[in-house]
Amino acid sequence: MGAAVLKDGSHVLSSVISSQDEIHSLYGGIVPELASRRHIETVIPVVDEALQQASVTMSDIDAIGVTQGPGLVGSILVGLSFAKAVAYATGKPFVGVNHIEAHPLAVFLDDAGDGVDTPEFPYVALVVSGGHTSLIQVNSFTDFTVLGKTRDDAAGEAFDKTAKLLGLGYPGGAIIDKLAKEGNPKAIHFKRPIIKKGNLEFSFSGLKTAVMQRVKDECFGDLSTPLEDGFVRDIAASFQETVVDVLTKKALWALEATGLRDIVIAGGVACNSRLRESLSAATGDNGTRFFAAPPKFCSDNAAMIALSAHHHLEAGERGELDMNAYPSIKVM
Amino acid sequence: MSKEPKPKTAESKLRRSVKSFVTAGMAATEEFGKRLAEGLSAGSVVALRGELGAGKTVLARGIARGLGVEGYLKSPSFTIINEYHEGRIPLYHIDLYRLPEGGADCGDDGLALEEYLYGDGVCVIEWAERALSLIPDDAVMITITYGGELNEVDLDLAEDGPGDIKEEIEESKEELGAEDSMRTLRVSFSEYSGSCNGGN
Repeated sequence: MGAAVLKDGSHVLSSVISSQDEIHSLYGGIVPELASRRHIETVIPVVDEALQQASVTMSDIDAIGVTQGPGLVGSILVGLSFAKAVAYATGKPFVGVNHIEAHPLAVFLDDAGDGVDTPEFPYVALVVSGGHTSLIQVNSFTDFTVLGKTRDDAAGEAFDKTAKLLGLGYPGGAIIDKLAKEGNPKAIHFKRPIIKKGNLEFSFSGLKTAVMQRVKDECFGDLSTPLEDGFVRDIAASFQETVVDVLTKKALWALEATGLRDIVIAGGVACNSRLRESLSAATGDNGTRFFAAPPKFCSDNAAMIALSAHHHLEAGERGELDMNAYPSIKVM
Repeated sequence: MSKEPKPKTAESKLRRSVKSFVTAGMAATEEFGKRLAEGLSAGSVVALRGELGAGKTVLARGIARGLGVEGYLKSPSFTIINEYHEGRIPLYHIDLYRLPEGGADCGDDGLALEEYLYGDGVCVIEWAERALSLIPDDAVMITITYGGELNEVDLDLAEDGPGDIKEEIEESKEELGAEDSMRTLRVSFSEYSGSCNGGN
């Protein structure tokens, strides 16, 4: 759960996240904050903290944006009910936002308030996280076209499951990123899940199984056998290179297919240093440009929700008090 | 829309039948799911167990197809619950992968799963062992074991060992389909239902 205060639609005055990574790492990836009870406990402290860090009070706030989906209905309802209650009590307008549509806009967030380099509409966004892997054409702040998405597992899920298999703990993505720097990305060849040339959909389910088979081969089927450090580093590097390769290729194909020149990455996996390096190296020719928000705005955050909400409000949208949660918004 | 939760006590009178199937490859696993779906109705729960990559999502996809859900079946590992409403009855594809493992049954803990389990649709639950106390007694339990016969063979070959043996392994791997090998599906269901029909 998070809360943020934005000024003028993009200047981030505060962005607070009630992160429980320490608790997750105890379990190797479970997310206790998914439980709605945890949300109920944290919603007020987190909003208070955001207001305090921004040095404002609720009366300074012009409008409220809130995630309407997708996600677990219990968790979404807590935020939504809170936003509605505040809107009702204060008479401020509020609007519901699609979480996935907010990710590609995070690149407009301005932490320091002195301007940031931003892409030109329309642009292509690659949204990669634990739950999503999508190529999206961003036509404006409120208009999106899905170019391709995953058929099965998300890229972040492959990172997390691989890390768990290698006994690396949580969060898997960050640990693999670090270990991979010391491994040989060519040590183990994994088949690239490309589907076919030019195709903009993803499939990472087979890669996860291939990694598991390779690990099993290494320990003769007994997954409780400790793995050698060198092997772990090489498999982390080889796995990461496979994912980065596929994501980079498809991002470029999306630019080709749309004739657009700006590519933006967003979502938790957009924090991966190798992916940033690879996309940065692959762009620049033919006028193509690469943009990425700072890591803290790539992973889930409330500032991007506020930014998206600002533009929906500018477009005249207003939430009604009977607004419902949409656990599985179809888009993306 | 909710039905009364079925009693789930230790002295429950339900006897369970177990049947084992061997499916050759993903297509066969999916086909099994499709057939299984024919016997499912509102309130049916299918609990799937099996290690990473065993084919749980493939079986779930078969069930989805059987219910009339087209399109991709995205993994719910992170989202925990994916809802599909386009089939003949709703499908709730649930994945408890991110709940604690190792017997620490965390129960519902605010996930509101019971809304789904005793609701208006079919629940297919992957990693069901993470919250067994939630699984109704009359659920269809399916354990999928990855075939991987070749893993049983403990081969101790030197790196530069006899080339022909290596070749033979490669060939038999190909015959079995290295990525697409046999799965054993151990299906356990309530005796009184007389079929894979967990929800009546």
